Amino acid sequence: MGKKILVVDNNPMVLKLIANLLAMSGDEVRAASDGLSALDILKSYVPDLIFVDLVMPNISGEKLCRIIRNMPHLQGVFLVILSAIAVEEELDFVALGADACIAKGSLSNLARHVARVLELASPAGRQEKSRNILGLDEVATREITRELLSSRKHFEIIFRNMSEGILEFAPNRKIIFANLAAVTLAGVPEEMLLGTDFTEIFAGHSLETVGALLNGPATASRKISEDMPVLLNGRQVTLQFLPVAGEGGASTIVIIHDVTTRKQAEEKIGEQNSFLTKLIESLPHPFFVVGADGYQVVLANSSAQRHLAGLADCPGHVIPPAADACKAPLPYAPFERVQQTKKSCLMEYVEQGQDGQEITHEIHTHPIFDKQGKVTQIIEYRLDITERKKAEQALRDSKDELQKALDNLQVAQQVAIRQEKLASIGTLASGVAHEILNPLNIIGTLAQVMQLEKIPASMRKNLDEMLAQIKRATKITNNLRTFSHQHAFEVRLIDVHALFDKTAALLEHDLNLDNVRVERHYAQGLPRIEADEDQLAQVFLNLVSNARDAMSSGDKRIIVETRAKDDGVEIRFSDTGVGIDPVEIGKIFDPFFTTKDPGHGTGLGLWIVYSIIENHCGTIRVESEKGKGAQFVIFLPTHLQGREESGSAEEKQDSTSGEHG
Amino acid sequence: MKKKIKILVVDDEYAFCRSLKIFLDKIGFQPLIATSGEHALDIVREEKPAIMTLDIRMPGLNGYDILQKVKRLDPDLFIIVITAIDVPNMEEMLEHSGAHALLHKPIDLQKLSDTIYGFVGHLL
Repeated sequence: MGKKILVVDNNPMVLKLIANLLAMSGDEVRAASDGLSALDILKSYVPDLIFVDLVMPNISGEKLCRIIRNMPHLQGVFLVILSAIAVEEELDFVALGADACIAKGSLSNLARHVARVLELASPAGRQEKSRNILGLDEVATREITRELLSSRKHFEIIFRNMSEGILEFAPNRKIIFANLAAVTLAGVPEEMLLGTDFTEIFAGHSLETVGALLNGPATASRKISEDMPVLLNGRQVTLQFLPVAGEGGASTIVIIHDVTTRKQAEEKIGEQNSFLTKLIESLPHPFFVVGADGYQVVLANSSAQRHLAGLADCPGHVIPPAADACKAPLPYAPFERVQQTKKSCLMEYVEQGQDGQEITHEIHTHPIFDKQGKVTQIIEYRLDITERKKAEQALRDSKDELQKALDNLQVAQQVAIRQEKLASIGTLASGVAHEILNPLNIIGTLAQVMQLEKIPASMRKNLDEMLAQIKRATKITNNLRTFSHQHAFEVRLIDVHALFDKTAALLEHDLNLDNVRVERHYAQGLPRIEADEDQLAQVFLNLVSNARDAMSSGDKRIIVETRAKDDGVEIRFSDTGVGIDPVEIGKIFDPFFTTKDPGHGTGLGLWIVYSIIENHCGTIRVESEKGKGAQFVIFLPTHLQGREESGSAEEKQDSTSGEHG
Repeated sequence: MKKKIKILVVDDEYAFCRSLKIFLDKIGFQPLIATSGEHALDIVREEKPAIMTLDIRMPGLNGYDILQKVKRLDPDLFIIVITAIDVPNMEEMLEHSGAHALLHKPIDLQKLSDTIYGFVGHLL
């Protein structure tokens, strides 16, 4: 009964010998010259016995054994290893899945061992398990072989431990070698990988790419580079193809590099970069980074390139420490400040824009440190806060305006209250004056008539006193009436100096008697003002008499100073008298307020002054300290525009009134 | 005996009229009294006084009204206004209305007699 036998050996002599031997015994023999051919045959052919040479090109005997043992339909096959290096390399053929091993020696011995193997392969022989290598004692050790094997072992270790995948395929693209990394990358067991078409370990687009590359001209630089890696079992890999000249055409070694992690990292960095770029580009404000050493621009957004002079050609441009864009000198150079303080710094500066408008910038600078804490780079960004500044200013202005309006309103209110008070007092005063003057008139007339009689001297004296008192009462009444608005207001252009001199002349005699000196500090070229001469004279008269009455002893001086101010004239009356008590200073312009002894003041003098000044749209205020004299400061406008004709209504009422009087 | 010169005193205050009457009597004139404008016009018509003292603020006809009317009755009547009213330009105003003198209340009798004698001397 003939057996089916496959012999795999790259040595044609061996192949021929075994084929002949076996053919003689009536067995069916097929031969393969290398592992790849053997695998092809085994796809469709199931032998009873396989002889495998250990040392072969392409797929080695060891690998072939492993592949065979992993093929389910070849489980029952009797596997025999033919080893030419059995002496030099201790081979555990059982571990490789072989049933027997023959050490290759002379051809005659080989024939004998093959016959022995056939016995062992018989059902009876299979019971006899032996780990012995047939003919091992018949071959001698060869030193060169041992060295080659040792060197191969080194390479195997290197290949196994390389992180790059190393793969070799035959001219027909069948894979004949793959190191551990290549097997891992392919994700296919080695025995299955070997014999597979190289391109088929790829899929889809990657398969096409690799196929196209291999179909193209075979150059030494053929490769899949990092720019466009292909996908292998879900990993991004680069491929480098190295042709290896050999028998039966060139095989190709492929170095496979897994760049997935690097690619992913690069991608991530790329994403982050574009994120950051978008971020700083999205800023409408100039934003840039300079190196701390020399202020060379490292990074700048387009706003910075637009806005900062000379930044257009950045990065690489050197920014001077005190940013050259601004013409106004900076309080300090922000870059240097950041270097010195190692802290962020904020400053404002005003720049003259091209159209002459002032632009206010807020400059923010931030240090970037290295691990040693040294400032390596500086970030700067600028905010145009011109609008904000304007808005703030506008807010302040409007607040000031409101405050001013409020102040004006309050002043107007006070004036209105005061005027109303004055008007009612005036109306009352005018009525009361008339009613008092009539009885005084009768008493006075009778007293004068009585004086015409022959009467005792004592009675005549009493009558004199009565008349004196009537005069006094009349004076008060007339004073009161002065401000009942009965006087027509006659506006003329008044020379204040001339009017004062004229008024003071009236009092000269009295002043001399009292040893009061009047000092005049007249401003040159003082404008003439629109005023009622009589009323203004009254003001001077009252103030001078008041000052005189306030000075009882010591240095007695009245000082009059004038000066032009705003749209008017300021007149200051100072005296060296007793001054005004702070408690009373608020009341001195009130009617009937007096500090003089009874019988010496009507309490109307300053009220009259106040009323007249107010009537002239002027102001009067008093400054004084008890014991240090008083100073009245009068301001009178040059023009009396807008003055109300307050006198006319009163006058009309007075002349047409049919009241009892 | 020479006929006394008639002086009409016009004032709504009778007490004043009476006191002035005593004075005028004393200095040798014939005083007449009217305490209203209407009464005054009647007296001017009937008695034809040479001089009149006149108050301005009175109920009914006031001093200005009387001035206008009396001027038509007797253009030669010498009129002295005696008033408690004191407004600017009053003198001019009164002069324009035909008054000849202005005296303020309380009256100074010396001034009144001076004014009267001034006119009387003018008459003689």
